[in-house]
This record gives sequence, structure tokens and C-alpha cells, in this order.
Amino acid sequence: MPYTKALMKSIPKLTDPSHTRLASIPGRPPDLVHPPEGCRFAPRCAYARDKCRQEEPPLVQADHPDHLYACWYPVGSPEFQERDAELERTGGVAVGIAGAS
Amino acid sequence: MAGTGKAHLRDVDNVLRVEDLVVEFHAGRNVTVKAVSGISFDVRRGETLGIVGESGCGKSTTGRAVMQIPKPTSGTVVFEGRDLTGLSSSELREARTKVQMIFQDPISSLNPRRTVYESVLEPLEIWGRGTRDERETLVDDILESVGIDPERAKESRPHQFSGGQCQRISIARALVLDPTMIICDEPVSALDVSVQAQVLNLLEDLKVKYGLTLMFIAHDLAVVKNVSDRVAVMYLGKLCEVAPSDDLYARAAHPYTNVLLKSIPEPDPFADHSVADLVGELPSPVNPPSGCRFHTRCPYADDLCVREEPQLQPMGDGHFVACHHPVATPVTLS
Repeated sequence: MPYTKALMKSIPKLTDPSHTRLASIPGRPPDLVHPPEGCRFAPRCAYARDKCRQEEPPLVQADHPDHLYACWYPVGSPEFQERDAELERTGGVAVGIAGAS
Repeated sequence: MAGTGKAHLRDVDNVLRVEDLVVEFHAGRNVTVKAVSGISFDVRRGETLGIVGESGCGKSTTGRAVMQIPKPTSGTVVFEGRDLTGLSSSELREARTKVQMIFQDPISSLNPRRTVYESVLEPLEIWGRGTRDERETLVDDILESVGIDPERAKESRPHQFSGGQCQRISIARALVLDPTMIICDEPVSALDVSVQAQVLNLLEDLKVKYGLTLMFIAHDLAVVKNVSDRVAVMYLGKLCEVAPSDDLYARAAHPYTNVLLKSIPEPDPFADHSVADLVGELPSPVNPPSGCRFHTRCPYADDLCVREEPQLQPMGDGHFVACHHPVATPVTLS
């Protein structure tokens, strides 16, 4: 899901040239006294849509065995790719996880 | 490894030039810990020098010795043309306003009983800089530039902030006296990867905004590569390799640097783990090995390495290595 991908994207890589700008997740972890409705990551997710802000995604099986995720629009889904292309065009502010597979 | 030697020192526009730095600690009768054994390095204005190595290699001691905490056993630390090792305590106090330090544990490096605003303001009060209004305006500006709300800082103590926020506050405190140089000792090692990325990006931005020169000490090679212009690799109190950041990782010439690069785990469960690990433990700095200090763990070591300490030798393009048998085909990064 986009959160996992963003965490992995924020790790500096030895294969990147020095002074490469690192991707980081904008904002801060949510207030746990008043957690956000729907998906708790939605307020910080560049791929969030209305559904994410209303309904909590259930943990579901991925294609790969033993892989579970909770996301309405996981990495690779049509909605994810559509938003990814948009971010790419507009300079990809947000999470900077363009090109994720 | 082992390098002594000064072939890598430069003459132009240095903010810091350290020569023959030795730091030893007495640890009981006839026991001396040789933490740093005759290293030399320089940092140019506006440059970030990264220092990497295993825990216990002397990298933090080196950073602290620049600050004269404690004063090194011998050697010179010339900062902005003045040797800090020869200063009186009042001169040193003043010189230290220009070299600041940030540490690994950001929460315990702030006073738990004060608001963080007071902690950032205090250096200005101690030095009587400006009027009260001017001081507060400056603190507000600097807190904003590190991404901390000044109003919240006035009401909150360190435990009310996250580790990443406390590190930002520590950076703000280091900045208020308008330093020339900041020594960062493992500043992101306690932070999660996303916050680490934020703090590293922040340091890069502040370096430009405030014209800073940085020493960045860390054990994570990828982090050091990301922020540094030049990197020095340390092993057991000695320098083994010094090179421009990209060049070091493209053609690591020291066997130790190569082993360090190979031993980094990749976030990929299918990655090849068959590469050789570094054998043995870091030897004791009380009785360091003869000759090259890395010879006890080096796959290429021979008699020469046992007998004779290698000097830092130029490899071209500002790359220096202290090794009798530098690696010709360095590790390739996938």
C-alpha cells in the first residue's frame, strides 16, 4: 500500500548520487485521541479519495501468498496509477512514490 | 588501515584543519584506551564531511575532540585560523559559539524541566545578544525555519514532542548563535526512516540558508553518502580512506570500506546474502594491532601489513586510501 511504499522510498540508497533529495511522508502521525475517520493514513496519503476518508479498509489478501494489506487503492491498482500519472505531471509533490510497482 | 599521513589535506578555504589528533583515556592502572591515534583531516567552507565506521572506531570521540570535550591528548585543531587546543577556557567558551553540536538522543539533549523555547533562547541570553525583542524574533524565525511552531514551543517541554521534533529543536538551539560549523553526531540514528528523511532534507536546506559547514558522524553508509561532500572512513582510531562522497562509493579502495559496503542489508528478502561478512570483532583499542590495525580481519593482509602502518596515498580525483593492497575491483552496488 502507499504507506509501506513511502516508508521504503524514504530510505537513503547507496545507488543514488550524494545529495539526492529524500522522499518523506508529509505531516505527522495522527492524533490518537481523535483518529481520522476511514483509513488512518488518508490525511497524509497522496492517493487518498473520498472513500478513504469515509470507510476503513479491511485487511485483504494480496496476490502473493502470506501478503495482506488494508488499502482501497493499493499500489498498482487503476486508481493508484491514475493518481500517480497526475502527480508525475504536476511535479509529484506529495509522497513522492511515483514509479512504485 | 591505519592511516596516518597528510597527503589528503588541502590548503584552500578550510574552516577546520585537524592534524595528528590523538585522544587517549586512562582506564585504570597501566591501561590506556587509544580511542583516536593520529588522524588528520580538514573541512572546507560550506562542505559536509561525513565520518563513518563501526561503533567504537573513534568517530564520536573525534567530533568531541574538535569541540575540546575533552581536550585531545595531542595534535592540533585549527578552526578559522585558531588552534583550539591552545586556548584558555574563556577563549574556548567564545570559540565554541561558532562550533555547535547536535547529538543522537534529541530528547535527553534538551532540559526536561524547561520549555523548549527557553532552551533555544538561552544561548542568546547567556551571551547577551540583542535586546529581549530581538532575541525572541530570532528564536521565532529559527524555530519556524526548522518547522516548529514557536507558540507551541513556549508552552511545551521536550517530552511533549516526538523524537524528530526534538531533533529539530536541538538543531534550532545549535543555530541561534549563528555558528560557522555544526558537528552532527549520529543525528538521525534514533529516528524512523520517514522522519530521518525529513531531518536530512532539513539539514541540507539549513546548510544553504545559513551558510553552514558540517561534520556528519554516523554508522549508516547510505545516510552519510546522502548528506556528505567528502567522506572519511575510520577504523579503530585511524583513517582508512578519504574521498569525495560519490567517488568513495563508486570505487571503494580499502578492503574495510568494501566489507562495510557489502554488509549492508537490503530491504529485499530475495537479495543475495552470500557475500563474506566481516570476520571477528573490533580489536581492543587498549592493545591495537601492529602495522595496519585492520590486518587481523583483512582477507588481503600479509607480513607487510603486520609490520608497517600504511600511509594515506592518493588514488586520483581527491581519493586517498591507507592500504598496502588496495582493492582493484571494488564491490558493485546493485
